[in-house]
Amino acid sequence: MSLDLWFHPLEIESQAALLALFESGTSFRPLSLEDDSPERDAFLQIWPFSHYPVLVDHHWNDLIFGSSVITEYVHVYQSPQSNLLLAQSEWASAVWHWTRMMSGLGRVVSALSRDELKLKHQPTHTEQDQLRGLYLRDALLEKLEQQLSERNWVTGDDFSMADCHAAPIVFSLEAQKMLGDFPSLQRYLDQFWERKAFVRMLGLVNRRLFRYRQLRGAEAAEEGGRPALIDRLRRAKVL
Amino acid sequence: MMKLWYLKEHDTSLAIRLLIYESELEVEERLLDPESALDQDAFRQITNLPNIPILQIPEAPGILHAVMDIAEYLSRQAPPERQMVPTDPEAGFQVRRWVYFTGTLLSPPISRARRGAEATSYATLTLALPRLEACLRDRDHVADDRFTFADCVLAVLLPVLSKLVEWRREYPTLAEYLERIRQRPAFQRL
Repeated sequence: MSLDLWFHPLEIESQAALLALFESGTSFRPLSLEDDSPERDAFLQIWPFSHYPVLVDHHWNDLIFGSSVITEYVHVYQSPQSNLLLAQSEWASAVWHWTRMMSGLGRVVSALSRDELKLKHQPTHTEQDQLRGLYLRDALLEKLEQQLSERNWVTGDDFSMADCHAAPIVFSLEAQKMLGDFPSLQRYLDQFWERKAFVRMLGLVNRRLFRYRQLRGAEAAEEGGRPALIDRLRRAKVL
Repeated sequence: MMKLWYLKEHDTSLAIRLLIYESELEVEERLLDPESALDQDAFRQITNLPNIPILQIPEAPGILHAVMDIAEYLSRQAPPERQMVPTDPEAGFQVRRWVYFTGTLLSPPISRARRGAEATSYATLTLALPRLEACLRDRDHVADDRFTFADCVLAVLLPVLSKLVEWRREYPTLAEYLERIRQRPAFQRL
């Protein structure tokens, strides 16, 4: 197989890339940076940055990083039949516009989660950065909620690259039991359980799900009247 | 009429303005003074997002916040020979790829170094700069055989880096590249 995707299961960007590759029907080998695979050390020699995901194209001896760049690379060079970039939308470049907006939101949500998970005496951001992040997260989530209140998918009737970037964020919020304030996002996430690519992606990142369950997910998710997150994960054979 | 809201001495604001001058587009420029309450109020009436620069456009979605969205929209307004983001899928991909590279691996460590000169910032830079040096040994511009938005983004960052650390001796191809860009009339307008 000529394509390897190096991903970190805890990263929203990595999950977005996995989802996009599965959705586009691209053949690739998923390689988790959390595993002790023999290729891992060799990979870290050629990619010493702490930024993932990274797609290695062995045939063309090329290395591509960043989920939206990887999706575009796959579309242009590997799976041009994929509709992820060509979805019909209401105005030109809406798919790219929303993909970039979701990518920005993903970075903010990840940074806030990292801050929360790190020890209090090792903050990665200043208090001002955190407040700015919280403001930006809420403003972007409100925009996404509004967008989805009138559409099936982020940019209209067609599933697109923007949805690949939105899904891991919405799932992460659901695991933190934050979707109660966003009914359209809840309805949106429900649609993903019907998509094989989404369930395959979750299967690859399930260590993250275990961690969520340990930290805060299980008890919170099993409360409430709607189908619980953990039950769903079990039904999908992810947990 | 398109209207660009931007900050002075701000990397992405400079990159977008360089694109505008290179493309010879007519865009109203509105400098935002972060210290001015009047300016802050005027800005908040347009958007509740803190991103800058933004471009107001006369069609949906009305405002563009992401720098690559702004660059692509402006590029489409220019005649083909002056488009800074090519419409050809492969050439366009290369531009977006290098803009992402610069925006992710070069710009953040430079910003951090500006604020506190952390050792980790310089460590990242010493990993990123050799890749740009190698890329420019094979061609005159970063992403294509002609000047594109990828060059706009890189060209406005390198002078900032020069103020922080001496890098020119170690990366002579990159230094020559910057000198060539400095000669461009559009760059001199900034």
